[in-house]
Amino acid sequence: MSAAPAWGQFDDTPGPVPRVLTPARLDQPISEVPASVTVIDRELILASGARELYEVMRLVPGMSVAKTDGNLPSVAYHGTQARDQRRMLVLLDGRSVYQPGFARVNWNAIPVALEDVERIEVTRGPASAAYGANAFTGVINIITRDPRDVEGQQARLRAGNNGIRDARVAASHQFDGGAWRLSVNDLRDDGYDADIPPLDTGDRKHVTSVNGRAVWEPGARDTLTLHAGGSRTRLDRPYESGLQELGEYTDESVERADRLFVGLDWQRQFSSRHQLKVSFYAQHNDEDTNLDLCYFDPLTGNTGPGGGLFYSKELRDHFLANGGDIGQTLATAAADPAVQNRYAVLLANGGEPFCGTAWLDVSETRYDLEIQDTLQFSEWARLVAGVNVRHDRGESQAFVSGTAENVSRRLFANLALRPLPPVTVNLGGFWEYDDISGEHFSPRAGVNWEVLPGHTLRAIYARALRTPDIYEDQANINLAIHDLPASYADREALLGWSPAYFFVNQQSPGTLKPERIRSRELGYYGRFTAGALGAVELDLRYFQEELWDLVSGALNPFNFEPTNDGEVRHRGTEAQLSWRPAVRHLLRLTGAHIHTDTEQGAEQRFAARDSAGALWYWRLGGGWWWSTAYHLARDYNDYPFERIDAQLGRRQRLAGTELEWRLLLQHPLNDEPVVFEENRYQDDPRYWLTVTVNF
Amino acid sequence: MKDATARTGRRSRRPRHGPTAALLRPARWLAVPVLLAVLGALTGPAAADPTGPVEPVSVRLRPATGPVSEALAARLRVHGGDRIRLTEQRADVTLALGDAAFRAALAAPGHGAVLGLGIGATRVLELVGPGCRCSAVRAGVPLAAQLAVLRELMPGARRVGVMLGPDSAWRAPLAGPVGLLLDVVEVDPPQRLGPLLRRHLPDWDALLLPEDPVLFGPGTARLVLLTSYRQRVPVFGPGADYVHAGSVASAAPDNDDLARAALDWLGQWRATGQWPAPDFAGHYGLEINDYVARAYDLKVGPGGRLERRLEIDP
Repeated sequence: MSAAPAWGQFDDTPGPVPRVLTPARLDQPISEVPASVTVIDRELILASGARELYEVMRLVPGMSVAKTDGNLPSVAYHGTQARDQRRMLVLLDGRSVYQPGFARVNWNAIPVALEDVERIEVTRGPASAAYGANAFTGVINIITRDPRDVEGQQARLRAGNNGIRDARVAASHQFDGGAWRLSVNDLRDDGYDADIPPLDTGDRKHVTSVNGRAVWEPGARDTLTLHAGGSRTRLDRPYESGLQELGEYTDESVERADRLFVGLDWQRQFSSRHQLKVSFYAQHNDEDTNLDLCYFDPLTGNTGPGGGLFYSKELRDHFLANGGDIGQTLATAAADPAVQNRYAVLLANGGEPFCGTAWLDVSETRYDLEIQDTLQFSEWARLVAGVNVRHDRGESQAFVSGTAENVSRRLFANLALRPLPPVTVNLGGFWEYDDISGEHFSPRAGVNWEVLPGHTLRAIYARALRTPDIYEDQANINLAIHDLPASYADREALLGWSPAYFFVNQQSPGTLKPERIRSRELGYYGRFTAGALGAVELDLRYFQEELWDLVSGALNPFNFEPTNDGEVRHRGTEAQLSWRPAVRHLLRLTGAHIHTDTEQGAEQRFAARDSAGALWYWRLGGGWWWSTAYHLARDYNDYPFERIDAQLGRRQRLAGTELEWRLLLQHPLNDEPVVFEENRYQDDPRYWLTVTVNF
Repeated sequence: MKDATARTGRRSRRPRHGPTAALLRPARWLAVPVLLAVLGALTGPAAADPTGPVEPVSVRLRPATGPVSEALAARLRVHGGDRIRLTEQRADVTLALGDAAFRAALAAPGHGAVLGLGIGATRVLELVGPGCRCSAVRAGVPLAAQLAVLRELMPGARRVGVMLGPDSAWRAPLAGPVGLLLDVVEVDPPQRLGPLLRRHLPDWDALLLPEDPVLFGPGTARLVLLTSYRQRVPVFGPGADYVHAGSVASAAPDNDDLARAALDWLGQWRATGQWPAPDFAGHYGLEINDYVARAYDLKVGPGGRLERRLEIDP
């Protein structure tokens, strides 16, 4: 008998050490995953100096990251359209924050602070076979800290130029068999500078978020996890250029959004090779943006009662008679007798300007139930399979003129086989049926071959889709006017209908097909030591991606092109290197070179042909550290993005507490705006000081 | 005795008698034998030259019965040959397995020479002193052997945490090889283990555990291993049980190693009349939990590189 003794068995001890990390509990290692994966851990988050969640995505090769639309960040893997967030799935602890009604990811509203994040796993490439529709170009999985790993309380203050004023308090508690943590975070800044043309309004941001998680282990085999949180955002929004031609704003536009979520996971270990997970979550999102204007009289060009024409039934009828052509409608309206009569009625009303408020309102609710089973058949076969049911409900008077719903049913299975120790074969598929898009199947196949210890080659084929959202499928834009002066109380008489709607109406034909992507990838993953040079982790990816049936046209009230005509082809290479040359140093380099071919100009705005990043983190000793980062994207919408960051910090024990402070400086290396002309800062450098106390 | 690595991993043995490859379980990479050889080179007393006494040493085992004693007795017979005779009557030496048996043997009136096997650090300090006709083969393995394992499987590790308690097999200060920062955290009282793990794990690439019956016993395995895994910090050591539970790997002596260690000690005692000082067994194998190592993407690297690296290790 050659088994090693456990020393405890020589004596009377409580028994053998229980088996804790079982095959079913363990994750698939990166070298065997059928995708390129970037993992951003807490060390990288700290070293990056990021203040907001979206900023750390700059550490991912091929990721387009910028505040493209004032204070709204855009993050897109192999970016295409600058303002749309439709083609990548973002998960927070497995819960999709991809909003169902108006397919997008609102990075401002993700209710988690960077301090709450344990790590972020980014799957670069289509992953619908594992996550279903909308895991189109990639998946970002944000994993928050397990409360069992959090110790003590925390308070943090941050202040800097550009109106930066952030605060955070967090608490945690361990109890018998479990733990909980809760954090409240407040984030404010002034955004891009308001007084630099052409931006004539501010884009201040104020986000308050709450994130909580509790874990309870009623027994050795069961784990219950409760997630809950929410956010409240107040964003100054730029004026709508289409409306500015028809009236003058009387108040700033502010997007107000409130979001709540609650989720419950139950995980059971049936055996060392068999694990079941049942997850349920519900989330609700309410947001609206006010449009306060006094409308111009079409004849005089000044504000006046004639502005009411834009909300008259007769102009709507004329708009519809002109096939929805806004220019044609306005050019010929004066000749329409019905419009002329309505104009006369409005002028006879007393001469008070036509001023009111329209609301862009959106309300979304989702319920999601998933059962996932993990079974390690043998040394060489592992199956993860499950079923999912999801109910989405969208409500908007402005965008869909009511309520729309979508129910999807899903089945998925991913099989990992190791027929020979160096070879892993991954086969996966995701079948789903939803009320909008019908039935679809997304497959993926990959082979990973460890040619030498620590050196793995992979070949992957994947298909994925993005299903049209509720808005794309059922849009019926009707912008009602509210808060009119008292003299306009009788809308039926003065405007011809009640409620009175803006004359522009857009309706989706309801025939949009899912967007599709096909990806082929050859990759290399290496994790090794290079002699005296130290430890190296290297990932290389060559890819060809074809995207078709894209909804490339705009879908806003003034420009509505619901077609599947768009096509894009991406071809390129990416590299990601992490190098620890010595105990106290970490160097990280990323780069991507991407050819994007498309005939739709909008699909190229966020596609940087060359992008690169470098990050150096140096633990100086004595609790001090230094980090510096360089970011390059050439170009976003013809504007290169180039910036260097530097950070100095220190962590020290002080009277039973731990005090941490860090000073960060961001300095753009050119004078170009960010993606669009209006995105400029008054002062080039931005800086802030962060002070954190852990106790 | 149960198989501590059953269905979870593998145990590899270094060859000790020339090319006795049969002793090696199938290893995936050629480096495993090299690592095992180095583990041997790192250890203390070499196997005694069998030029010992003509008369066998009579030895009694305590406890006398039970699966552990029977397994060790079998290995002693195999490796001791005619150098040793197991008996219950008039024994020259008492071989006491574990702390309790060692303490009991030393407490017996008129006890003869006593050699403890697998004795914890605290008991060694307490019981083995001047005038004691005893010595002990300590429980656990030396730091250098565990570091060799860690550096082989995780050459990229730069900051390694070591948690020590009052009963740990190692004592601070600890020194690591060049290029490795050993961050030693003293856990006292043991109830501080959880908070200290939560505070320090984010700063470490790996966690190295010494043998410690109090700090790293069955009651804390879930805390240590799950907390570390959630933060993706691989755990190495302290022994075979922990590898079975979910630590990546550990150097660990098996019953053959203990039998050989006992024969080494007995040989020197017989030759000089003096016991060697208490020390670790000096012979180790490698325990690997393949599932956990795979989950962390840890591999045993090429043998040549390993050999060169370990040659300059302490």
